[in-house]
Amino acid sequence: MTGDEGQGGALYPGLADLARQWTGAVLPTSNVPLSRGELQVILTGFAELLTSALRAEEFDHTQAAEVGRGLVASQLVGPKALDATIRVLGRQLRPTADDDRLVDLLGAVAGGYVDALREHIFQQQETLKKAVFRARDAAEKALRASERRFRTVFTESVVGIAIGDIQGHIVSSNLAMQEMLGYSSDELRQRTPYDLMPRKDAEEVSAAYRKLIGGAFTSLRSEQQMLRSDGEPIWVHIAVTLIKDESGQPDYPVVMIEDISDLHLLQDRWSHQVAHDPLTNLHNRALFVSKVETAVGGLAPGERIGLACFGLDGMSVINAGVSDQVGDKILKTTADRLRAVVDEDTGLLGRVDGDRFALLAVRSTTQTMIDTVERAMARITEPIAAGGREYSVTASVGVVERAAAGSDPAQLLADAELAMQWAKEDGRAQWTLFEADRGSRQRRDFVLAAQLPAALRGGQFLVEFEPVARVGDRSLAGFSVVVSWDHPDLGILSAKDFLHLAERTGHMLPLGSWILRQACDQAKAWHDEHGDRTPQVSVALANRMVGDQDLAALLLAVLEASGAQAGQLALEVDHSMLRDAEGDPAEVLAVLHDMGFQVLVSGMTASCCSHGFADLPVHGIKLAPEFVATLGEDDKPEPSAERAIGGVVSAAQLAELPVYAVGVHHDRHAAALRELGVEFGQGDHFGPPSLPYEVEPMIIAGTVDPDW
Amino acid sequence: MPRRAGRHYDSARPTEGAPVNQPDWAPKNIDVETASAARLYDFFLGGSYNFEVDRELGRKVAAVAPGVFDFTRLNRAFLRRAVRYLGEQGIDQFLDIGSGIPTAGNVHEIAQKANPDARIVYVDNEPVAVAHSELLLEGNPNAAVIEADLRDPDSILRHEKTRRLLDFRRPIGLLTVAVYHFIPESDDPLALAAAYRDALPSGSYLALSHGTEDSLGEQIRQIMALYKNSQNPVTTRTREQVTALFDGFELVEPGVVFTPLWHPESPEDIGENPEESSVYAAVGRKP
Repeated sequence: MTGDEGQGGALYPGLADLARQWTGAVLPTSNVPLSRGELQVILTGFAELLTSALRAEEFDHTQAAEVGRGLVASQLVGPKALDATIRVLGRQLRPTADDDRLVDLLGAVAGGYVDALREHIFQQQETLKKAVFRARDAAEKALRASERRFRTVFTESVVGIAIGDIQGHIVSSNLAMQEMLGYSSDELRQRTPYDLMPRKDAEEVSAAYRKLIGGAFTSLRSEQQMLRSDGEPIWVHIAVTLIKDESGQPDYPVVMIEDISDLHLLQDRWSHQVAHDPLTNLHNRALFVSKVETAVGGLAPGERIGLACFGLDGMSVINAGVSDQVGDKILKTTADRLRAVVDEDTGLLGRVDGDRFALLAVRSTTQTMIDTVERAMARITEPIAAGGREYSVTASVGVVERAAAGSDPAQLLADAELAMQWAKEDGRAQWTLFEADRGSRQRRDFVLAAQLPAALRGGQFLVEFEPVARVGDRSLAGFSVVVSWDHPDLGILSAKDFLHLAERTGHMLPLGSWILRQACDQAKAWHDEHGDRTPQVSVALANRMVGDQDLAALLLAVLEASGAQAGQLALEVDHSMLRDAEGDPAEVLAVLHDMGFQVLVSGMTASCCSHGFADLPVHGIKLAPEFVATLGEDDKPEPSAERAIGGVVSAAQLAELPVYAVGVHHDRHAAALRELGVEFGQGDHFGPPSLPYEVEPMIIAGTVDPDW
Repeated sequence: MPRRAGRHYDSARPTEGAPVNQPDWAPKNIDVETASAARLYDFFLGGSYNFEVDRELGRKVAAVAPGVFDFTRLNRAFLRRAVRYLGEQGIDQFLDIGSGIPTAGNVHEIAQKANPDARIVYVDNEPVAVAHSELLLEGNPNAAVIEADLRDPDSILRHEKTRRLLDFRRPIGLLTVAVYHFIPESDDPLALAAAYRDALPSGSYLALSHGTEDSLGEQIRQIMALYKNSQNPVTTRTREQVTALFDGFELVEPGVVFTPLWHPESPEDIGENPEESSVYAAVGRKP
């Protein structure tokens, strides 16, 4: 450590040892902010001074006294520090020192020490006193500031404050209190707060005040009525607090009152706002539904109720593209116009969603309801001036009209909203009556969509093969794969009942791959059996699959798993998927083509071939069944339909593509199509979708009319 | 519209003490008639920053627990070693809560001796100790004192002086030396410790010491009985309870030990019976 024995040893043989013992003796006596080593360095220096003083010719007690002071400066100020010092020094120095000199030396050390310690204590006490004064000063300043604050609070507060005497008389009141109660300061001074209350309140409050003084509680608060000087009652929140003196005895009360008459008013208004739409001031959805409930409950058996839901068309475009202010103006105006239409006695209005209003009519008939709706729609359509422009807004309206008895208000509104959706889907700006069938159809769809995955796992789907024939000679040209669902509750469902659900719910890929696999397996089996006589098997690809990036990989995997060749299959792509956003042929067509599949464009109608087919890497065009159906039921085919189909056929012929017709059910259609140049056909006229073993004779015979 | 007339009486608040709910800005009493922990501590350290009322209680304490002079001195020495240790770890900003009377060997003296730019914020709830510290820190731009209570972390952590002097994006040395034993269980010391820990950035340190009955049970219980009548009653804690205050910190070797055993500077400093220091000490680092 730092006690350097070599250096000390040169002056005095035991110097280092002395310093170590001295350090060890004094360190436990005081709070020294030094390590043992650091203190020992200091004490070594002191020991040097003392030994040199001992040896000097002439004794100089100032050096020794300086050591005493130095001890204090080193914070060796504990009660036992001097005692420990004298003992160590006396014992260690006695063997080499003259006794008288030693006594002088120790005396001088003690003298210097005591002198410095007195200074030290005086200084600390002085500092402490200063600190106390400083703290008191700060406290007094805070007190004065606090009094100023209190004074400010008292005079400026909007809360009425009064200070009373112990009997409860008002001694001093602030302006707010005077204004609230309509009395001057002097008038208040002769009264107690309960003099200003109706008798019953006064009795309660004065009894409570007596208990407060008695120490039952420390403050009381209540909502109370008080009477103004003009006799008008006001509602106040009153708080009485008892201030106590230093010995804890009740000194005086402070009374605070707050006028809450406005608050009561505000509460009323607030509950209105909770239930009303602030923009249009109509009932909000929750209140509207509860009002409907009340209305339904108030009707006699046999009376009817009508609910219309008005959905403004294109509001999101206006809000996004124009401005919210314009949108708000349109909503407000619409609300006002609806109000003008509704009969206050029998009608009720609500804004049930952002751009959606609901109208309830009681004791309605379907006719009065529709009249009202049409009147309202006409009013809504009138131009609205907003933001310097005129806007013409239309509404799509869903209408429910039924017997009131047993109607569930929430269901009424939900049905009206569903019908409104139909109105929008069917082209907007019109009203649609809610049909239970259509509603239940939609609900059934939701159920089916949910059942799809389990049905696929459970093997409820069935693949059948519909023969495709040359229209001219009914020779077999291929098979079209048709999927159906053998539903445990609903029986056989055809593709149109569930494929759109699979597309919408994301189950198309698993279902589509399953269908592909069935088709490939069957194609492979027939090829193994019948070789080149086997015609092409054609599968429709759902749009979802055509758009899928992994389609090629999926097809390869299915081919590999089944062992079928790409050339044995035709893939049908819906006309809507033929071109990308720029109008160029979709890449997927070239991919399928290059993989070796036949590619057929399906679902073709008159309006689908504006670009022609010349640039498409496809092998044929299939006309949509509904397009074929336009030929009509009559003996003489519809001329316009013939023209339209002929147009598509010409476009296909320009591109040297054969045309297939789907849904050919009659001789007449077949004949007309043949005239128009359609090469292939499928439909009841050529044979229904059937199981593989049922159609296999066609392969052997090479015609859809095999010899059974 | 029906009117509601409700009424309730406040009987929960005790009648003694402050007659009304004291707002924050109400002036605090400067009480030199009751012994304070800060001045008692100074008395035990051999200082003269104390009043007769403090010394009177101090002498009573010393009579039943003669070890009290050692407890305080060894605790003070731990503080010094801990601050030096933190300085060696690169800590140059300190928050000393419960700093008390600024006797010799204050944190800023130790820390600024090693690094003149070191910043220190002292915190105490005793107005005289705070005024005292203000006197001492006049002209020291890197040190300040605030009057606040450990039990109100926000008032300390969000204090304008704390925010001005300490950079909470860099590690901080938090010193709570001989202060948690003035926090009873009802004030939830663990939640307080967690609140401070959460405010500290990673790499910060906590140095803490705490009185215990684990060794000199009888003496300590006597002290506690006497402190009951001071401004600051005492709650001692076991080693486990003290360790729990370091939740979320990694304890620096040798963990929670009696003060002389924490990083002693020489073998003599440990003494024969370190457990008679009656104070646990430890330093932890927030990972």
